[in-house]
Amino acid sequence: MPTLKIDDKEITVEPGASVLQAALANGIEIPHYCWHPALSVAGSCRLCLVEIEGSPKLQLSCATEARDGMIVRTQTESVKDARKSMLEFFLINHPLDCPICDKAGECLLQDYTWKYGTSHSRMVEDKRERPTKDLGGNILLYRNRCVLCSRCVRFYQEVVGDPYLFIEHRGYHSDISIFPGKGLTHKMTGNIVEICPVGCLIDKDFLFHARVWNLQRSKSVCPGCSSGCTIYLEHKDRRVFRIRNRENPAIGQQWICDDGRYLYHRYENLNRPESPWTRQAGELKPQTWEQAMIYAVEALQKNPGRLAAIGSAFASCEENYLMRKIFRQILGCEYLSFYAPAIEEADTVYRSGFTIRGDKSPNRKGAGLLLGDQTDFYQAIESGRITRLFLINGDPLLHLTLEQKRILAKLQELWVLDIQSPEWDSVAAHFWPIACFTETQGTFVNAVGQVQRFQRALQPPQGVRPGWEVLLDLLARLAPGAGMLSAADVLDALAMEEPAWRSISYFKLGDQGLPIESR
Amino acid sequence: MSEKYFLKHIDRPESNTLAFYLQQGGYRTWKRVLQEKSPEQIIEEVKRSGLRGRGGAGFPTGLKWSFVPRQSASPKYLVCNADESEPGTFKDRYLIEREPHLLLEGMAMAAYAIDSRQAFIYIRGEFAYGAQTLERAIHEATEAGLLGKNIQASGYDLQITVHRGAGAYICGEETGLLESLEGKRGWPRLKPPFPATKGAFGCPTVVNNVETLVNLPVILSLGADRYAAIGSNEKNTGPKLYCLSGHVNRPGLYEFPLGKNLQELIYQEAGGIRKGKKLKAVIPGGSSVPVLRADEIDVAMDFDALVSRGSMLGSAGVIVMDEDTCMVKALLNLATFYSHESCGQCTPCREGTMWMKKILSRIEHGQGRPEDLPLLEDIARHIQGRTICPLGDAAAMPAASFLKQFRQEFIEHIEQKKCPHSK
Ligand SMILES: Cc1cc2nc3c(=O)[nH]c(=O)nc-3n(C[C@H](O)[C@H](O)[C@H](O)COP(=O)(O)O)c2cc1C
Ligand code: SF4
Ligand code: SF4
Ligand code: SF4
Ligand code: FES
Repeated sequence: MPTLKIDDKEITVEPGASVLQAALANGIEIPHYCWHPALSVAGSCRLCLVEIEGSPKLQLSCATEARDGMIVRTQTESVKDARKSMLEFFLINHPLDCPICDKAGECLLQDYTWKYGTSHSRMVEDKRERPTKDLGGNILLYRNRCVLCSRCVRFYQEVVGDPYLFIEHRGYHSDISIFPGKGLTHKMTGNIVEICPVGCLIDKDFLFHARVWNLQRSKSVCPGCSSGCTIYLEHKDRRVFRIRNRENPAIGQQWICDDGRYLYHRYENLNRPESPWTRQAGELKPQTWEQAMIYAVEALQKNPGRLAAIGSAFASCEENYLMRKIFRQILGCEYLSFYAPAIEEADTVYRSGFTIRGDKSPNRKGAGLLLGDQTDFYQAIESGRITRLFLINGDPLLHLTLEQKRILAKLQELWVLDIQSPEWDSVAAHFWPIACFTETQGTFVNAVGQVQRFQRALQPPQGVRPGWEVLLDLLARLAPGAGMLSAADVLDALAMEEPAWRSISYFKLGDQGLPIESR
Repeated sequence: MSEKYFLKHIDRPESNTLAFYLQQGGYRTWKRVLQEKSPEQIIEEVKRSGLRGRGGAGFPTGLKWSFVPRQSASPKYLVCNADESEPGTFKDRYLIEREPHLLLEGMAMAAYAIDSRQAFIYIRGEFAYGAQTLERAIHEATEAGLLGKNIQASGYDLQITVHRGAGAYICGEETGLLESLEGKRGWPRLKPPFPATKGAFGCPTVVNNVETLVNLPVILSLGADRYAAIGSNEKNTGPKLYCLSGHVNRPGLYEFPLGKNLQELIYQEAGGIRKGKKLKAVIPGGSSVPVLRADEIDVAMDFDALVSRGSMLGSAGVIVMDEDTCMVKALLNLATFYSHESCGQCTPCREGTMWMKKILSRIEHGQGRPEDLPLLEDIARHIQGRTICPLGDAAAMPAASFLKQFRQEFIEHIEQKKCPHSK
């Protein structure tokens, strides 16, 4: 493996790595725009120039392979001079409208100019001016801010595999564009906003909603499909403002799709009660959690023969595990299964391999491993095998058909734990409001078997509790002394019991997660 | 009078027909080479001839060919660069229109030497007549069994295809050309890899200028030694075309051995400066090279002598400017050209060329400021050596040299707040 020196620091890299990669991997910053780890090398922004001993001219660090014995300098006067002049070139036609630019605070033109540039312009001529263009979907192109790094163009070519974006005109007039009559399609548009190093590509969904430095980030996992892309929930004031890609090399999904990016809106206006309710004489009567629990502990223990429990592909592993623990191990129910939506579309695989799954649930695999095969519990109710049901859901798009409601109405008693209640108002006997994925924590197992952790971003509203906490409460009342206090404890207990989770602990999962063991 | 190899038939409009060419002994060398010489021997001979590329950079042709891998699973391509768009340059056009068979014969030799079975001529879009002429010549030569399948029963095949450009100067840069040939935007590529290993369609490729290629029949018929005796020294060999334009009495195309004295070229051959005016400046090698002052032109027009003089041979497009020429306006003209032709990939070239143009336009129109001159020099310095292709340098070098050589004129513009040459 080649060993080189960058600024007197000895660095060993994988063969084939570029000088830029070698530097970045070792905490040496070399400013760059056009280079992006997931895209081909363009070598056009010319910002990453460095001095390499033996070369009379400055060399592109992004396009020069790190070779054994190389001596690289990134802080010499000539490198500094090149950076400064390059930033001047970038800025002469830039509108300097940071105060009204969404990218401010996470903009590489701001950051680099601050660190490597100058604060005054020597250009007295008029700037190039071009009106902002709507590219379709949520994407706006603030053309005056473009640094023409071509990342967005290469993204569509190389990752999506459909060259929707291109550079129109030539030289000074070069301009990002789309083909006439074709808006940006593919559910990948939001990614170009993220990879744009400046505020040229802007997402209408976020535009003027917040300044990025006021946002807090929580590490989460997208529940949009079984790919389970890792994401950041960016939030403030008890509200999610946007979802950003949190790259996870372990699952090979370097991006997120637009379904996932904008899916937080589904959880914004959940229609849910402020406390559990129970049906009394046809009326939905609010209850305290304490009342609901006391009643349930007593009622569930009675006559568990025809009691069934249904987990969910939208519930975390912890929740599904607690369902099993309570209903199989403690109460001895026979019928356990889980809810998952029907798969109605094929997987979409883009050129880079990025996949949007047809399975629109985040934890079908985890629920299946813990609760066995998905079975048709409606049929079991119809046949009288199940007379009482305890069910957890979590799917914000759940819609019960009239037929399903008819069947559910046959039950003697139905407990529902869900993030909203309207679908259940006519059929449930007891409704317990639980937190949605932005308000709770836990793990999902994605389609390829990666166990991944998601963090809580928001407090659940008053009266709403995380599902795992509710189930843990119920468990503690049914079988005191289980010793679990947190979601992390639940996962660790699960891992002790389930062979597939053998090598996993909450702590070990880290940000990238771990694969379950296949038997 | 030195012997002419390229302009011999300048008075014979039929020189572009196969019949005429054969009558003059054309293709005889090609047939002989095909029978008697191995590709290696041709490369050796071309190396010994000292031939340097006529496309501008003067890279040794034999050496360039030797970078092409001998054994290669993929096809190899020869590409003739006929994009000739450098301001002040019009030599390739003549060769294409009037000596197409000489070019085809040279291409056949080059292709055979690097074992290429498919060659392309990338011709500037505006050369419609040239493209037609080449198509007809290829047809004639193929019918006559001089190109095409199993040429002269040698087992060697060569197809030559004409590809017309769409009018961009940057498509003359060899990798911009290859991109364009592949049907993409003419965006020069990062090097390495060089075309010799990864060129057209990812395959080993040699790109040679038209004038470079027409030298091959000369070398292989005269022999390397006799060829190398032409020219100013062993590093600057062979016959050369010179394009004279501007304020001379007889502008046009001239042929002399490489290393012809520039002063003689202007005053003896081209009849001196028009209307008895005084000479002010000469750009000796097409618009991209540094300008010379009138007192600097006693110099051999070869690759090395001009470099010692601070300029370059480039395309040997000699642009002559008399005493009435406004140097600010001349530079503005060049800056306009380069900012128009920049492909726009590299930041310094895209932004810097237009910035320079804007500043020069201000100075020319009486709105210059003293600080504009160091600013222009700074911009040129910040472009030079920091771009993907040499167009950036080509835009920066003239600017730097005009400012150095004719600074007083720029200062006059700024002080008088107008162009002193305007009426
Ligand atoms: C901006 C630019 C334009 C060029 N235009 C031409 C051209 O029109 N014709 C040409 O032969 N070479 C041109 N060149 C040079 C080519 O890149 C290349 O060096 C040449 O074709 C090699 O041929 P040679 O080795 O036979 O000289 C140009 C180079 C640059 C940077
Ligand atoms: S829009 Fe953004 S990503 Fe695309 S070229 Fe411009 S600066 Fe780069
Ligand atoms: S591919 Fe699936 S998991 Fe990934 S962002 Fe899209 S919906 Fe979410
Ligand atoms: S130097 Fe200019 S013409 Fe050449 S690649 Fe860069 S931008 Fe294009
Ligand atoms: S990052 Fe190297 S040239 Fe842009």
